[in-house]
Amino acid sequence: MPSASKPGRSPGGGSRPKIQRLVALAAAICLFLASIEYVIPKPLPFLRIGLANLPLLLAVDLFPVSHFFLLLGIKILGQSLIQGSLFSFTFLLSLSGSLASGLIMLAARRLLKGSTTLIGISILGAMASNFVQLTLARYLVFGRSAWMIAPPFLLVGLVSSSILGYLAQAYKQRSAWLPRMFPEAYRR
Amino acid sequence: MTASRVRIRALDIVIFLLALLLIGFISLQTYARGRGTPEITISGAARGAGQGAAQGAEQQWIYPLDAELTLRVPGPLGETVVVIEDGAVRVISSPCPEKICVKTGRISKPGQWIACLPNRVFISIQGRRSEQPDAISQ
Repeated sequence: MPSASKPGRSPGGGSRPKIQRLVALAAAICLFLASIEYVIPKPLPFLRIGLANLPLLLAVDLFPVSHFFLLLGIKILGQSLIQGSLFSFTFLLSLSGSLASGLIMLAARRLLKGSTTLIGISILGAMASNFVQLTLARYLVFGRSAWMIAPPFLLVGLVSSSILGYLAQAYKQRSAWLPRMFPEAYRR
Repeated sequence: MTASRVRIRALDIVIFLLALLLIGFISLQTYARGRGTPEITISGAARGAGQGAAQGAEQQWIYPLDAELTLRVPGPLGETVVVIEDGAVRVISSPCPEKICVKTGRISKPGQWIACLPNRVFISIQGRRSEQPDAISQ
């Protein structure tokens, strides 16, 4: 943003350099959380908490669609760099899972408007991601036995996504900083 | 309006319960099928179907592997007699010229099969370990 001469203090809160800085900040938090998640020991490779999705959940409500997908892309790439899975089939799983959950979360927010909190959105996103990943794993890697791991995988996803959804919702309501950054979203 | 407490909406709970229901359903599907006895699928062409009769006339029967019975499976050439006993399946007689199906002998593991091409009878075992090699050459 070389031409950002005027400081992003516009009353609408939507000046381009500002939203770009916010995307960068959200992406940095995503990658930080991805690193935290990476060092948490996992009993099974598929059992994941999905901490890095917290900023994405907030972005569903706060970012314009284009910037939401930008953040999603950075998260996918960055997370697989951290995990060292950028050039493996795991990346394909992560890519398609994240895209599916991003699309579902946006669609659900549009369709259901305010009749759910971020908890519902988070669960829907997690389920979408997990189903896409299981389906891919079944056809690409493991064959029919991929579904044998489905129940624990989905159950962990349900519990962790509910908790993450709650955290995101609580933060969205209590933060003093978010309303200043996204006055439009909070005025609604 | 900044409510400091998170008020969970009804639809959140509905979504949660639906997801739980789906997981329960998948668990049942996965584990009930996986743990149970393997099943035998037998397919044959209905009697009287001529050479030209395509798969439309095909019929399929499914039995558990622990059944004890003798079946007469109809085919274009006649009846193929299939015996299920002691957790294994075999063909004891067939109207086909080469009797390859009879020579195959007993099969008892998921993934194994017996085929009688002339009489269009196909017998296979499916179950928990169906991902083992499914092409056993004769």
